[in-house]
Amino acid sequence: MAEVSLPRSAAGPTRLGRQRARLREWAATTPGRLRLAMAAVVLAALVAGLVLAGVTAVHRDAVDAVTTGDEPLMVEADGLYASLADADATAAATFLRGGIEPAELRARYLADLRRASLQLTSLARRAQGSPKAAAAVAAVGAELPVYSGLMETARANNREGFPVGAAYLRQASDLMRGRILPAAGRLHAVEAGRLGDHQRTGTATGGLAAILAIGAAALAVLVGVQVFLVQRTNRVFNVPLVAATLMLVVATAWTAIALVRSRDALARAQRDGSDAVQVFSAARILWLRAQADESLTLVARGGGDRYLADYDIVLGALGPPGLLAEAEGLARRSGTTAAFQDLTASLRGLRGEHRRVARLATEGDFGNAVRVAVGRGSREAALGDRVNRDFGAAIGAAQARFERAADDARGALGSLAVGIPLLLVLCAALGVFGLQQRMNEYR
Amino acid sequence: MSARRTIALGLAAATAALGAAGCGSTSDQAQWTAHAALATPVASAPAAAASTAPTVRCAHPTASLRPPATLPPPGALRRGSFMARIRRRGRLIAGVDQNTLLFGYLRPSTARIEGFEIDLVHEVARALLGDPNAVELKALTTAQRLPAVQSGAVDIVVDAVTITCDRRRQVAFSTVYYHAGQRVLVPSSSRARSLADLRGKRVCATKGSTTIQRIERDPAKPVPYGVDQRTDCLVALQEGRVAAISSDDAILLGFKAQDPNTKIVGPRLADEPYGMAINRGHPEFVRFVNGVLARLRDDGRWKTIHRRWLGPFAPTPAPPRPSYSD
Repeated sequence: MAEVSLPRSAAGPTRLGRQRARLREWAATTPGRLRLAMAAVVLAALVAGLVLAGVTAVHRDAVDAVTTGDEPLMVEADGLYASLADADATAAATFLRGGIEPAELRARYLADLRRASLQLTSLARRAQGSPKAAAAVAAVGAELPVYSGLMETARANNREGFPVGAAYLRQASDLMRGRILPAAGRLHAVEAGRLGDHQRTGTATGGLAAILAIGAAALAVLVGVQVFLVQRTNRVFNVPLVAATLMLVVATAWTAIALVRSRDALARAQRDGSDAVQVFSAARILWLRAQADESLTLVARGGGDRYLADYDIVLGALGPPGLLAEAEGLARRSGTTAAFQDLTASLRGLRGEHRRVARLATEGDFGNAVRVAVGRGSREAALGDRVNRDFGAAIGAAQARFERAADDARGALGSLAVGIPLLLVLCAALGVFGLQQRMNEYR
Repeated sequence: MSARRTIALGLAAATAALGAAGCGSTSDQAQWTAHAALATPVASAPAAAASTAPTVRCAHPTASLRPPATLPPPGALRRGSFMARIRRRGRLIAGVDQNTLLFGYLRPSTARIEGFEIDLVHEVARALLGDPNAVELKALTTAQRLPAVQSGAVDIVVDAVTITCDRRRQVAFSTVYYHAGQRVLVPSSSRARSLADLRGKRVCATKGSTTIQRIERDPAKPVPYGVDQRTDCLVALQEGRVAAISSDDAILLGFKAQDPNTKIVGPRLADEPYGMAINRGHPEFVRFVNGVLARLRDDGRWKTIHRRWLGPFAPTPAPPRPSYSD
């Protein structure tokens, strides 16, 4: 065994060993060390540049996904949900007004349906990436024409004064509540979930840690090279190398600061913007459901106990302390407490009116109950309009806050895409230049 | 040495920066609250209480108190009587149905309750107060009908109350003013001529009603199709989900009035004699109302009222014959 391996092991160490020995000799010389330092500086600048640019790109993608993709999509899904809920509540309230329906209510119902169809088309185009979202869009799309057909049959019968109109209305509304709105809810959940995922990516701290770690490592390399130069050449400062160090520090600090500012802006976009959009949209949708419940109670004329029960369930979920408590926190954070208090005052008023309506309905006095609920000059109808406007304003203001913060999140990244490569190429070039000056002294 | 210090400083700075960045973190709480609230399940229809078959038996459930030989005119009511009290009040308070087209129905366009039963109430008011419109109509739910009479909230209930021995223990009844019965409504194109022709076909009725129990028991074995409210049956028929509807003919006539493409077929599966319910403490009012009904039967106005409401949909029969217990 030793005899067999001897020639090969003798030949190996001779050739390889010779090369290694030469390399060690060369590396021990000052010019060799300088060449190695040069490579280290270039490598450090290159790796730092790649990491900085990479982290920035990942963050920028998340910001773009949140601000131009997910959030508008989520708002659109919210909008579809609200259009459908408003159509149902409006149709039921219109039905109560009897054969000759007020033109503005009819127009509002039709506008809701048109808007829902347009939103559905747009969402169908944009939801292709997610099978779950596509299935939800398809479910809404498949049932919406059936819904509007039932509603028109209800209306035609109501105009004739036929009680079967109420049964068609109930069928339509049950289809809306049982199938269409849950599908819109699933779509909304998909879009909100996607928004949440990208928001988490956009506000993760991992990228920042990577930037600071790589910056520190590259800095260590540059400082190490300079310490070596001081020891070897007795010259304290190598100006190009100092400049290269400065470039590295500036690039790292700039990226880190931009990232922190962008992250903060994105977090603000969620906290003050999209969170409030979601909470207020959900509150509006719940409130519309309660409105539909009340109308359906009156349409059912004594058979509507389940709608009365649903009204109470919905208001329980709405709160306070439910969703409205969350909304109050959000309003306080964004300094819109006054507007929020107006809204809750109107909602309280509506609840009082509803108690009157419910009492009259329980007594069987549907004529007066209808007058209180939707009649001409009804306080409840006026409050309802105000609440609708207030919800619209709250959602609009939250969306504006989101867009401002989103602009900040994008703006904070500014010219990093140009700045990082420029600074780090300069850093590498200055490093090479500074070391080359020392090399030249050995020629 | 200085290199190490730089690295240490850099790491310290990095840690500080990370700590500061922690302030910008977010949570999904708002999103989850919103989503959970939206997912609040819709309240479901309460389970319909199954109506039970009458337990009490009596010899002549429809026998009522005999009216006086002549009805006292409005001005000559005995002082202190229940009728005199109504007269002092100036109006009759009647509990009625508002959901049954042709019998008692609140027409949305006019916000007035109208129908065959309502016209009978107006006749009672005319006899009692001299003015058919001196009446306050109170819409009652099915469950409210008898308690409203017992508590005195209304003077009389004319609301499709079938006279049964059970109910006679709670309220007094007038003589029969309408003879209803369970029948079958099918599309005009249907070849079915009775429930017997509907073997294996779906037949609609209200959940928990005695009607649906009869469908379940029928030897022809139709498939019962229960709905929460009876008008849902007409939707089911128009949408082709059921082959027939079974209900009181009073209700089926209203369905036919809403959909001319239907017909009522077959024999009466059960008798439902309707009577006006009055508090048991006012026998003199029962007699008075029976007197009004007798006059309507005799002078042909019962037929006129029947023809006015039900004529387009059913032949007008002879008025139900009164039966008296004394």
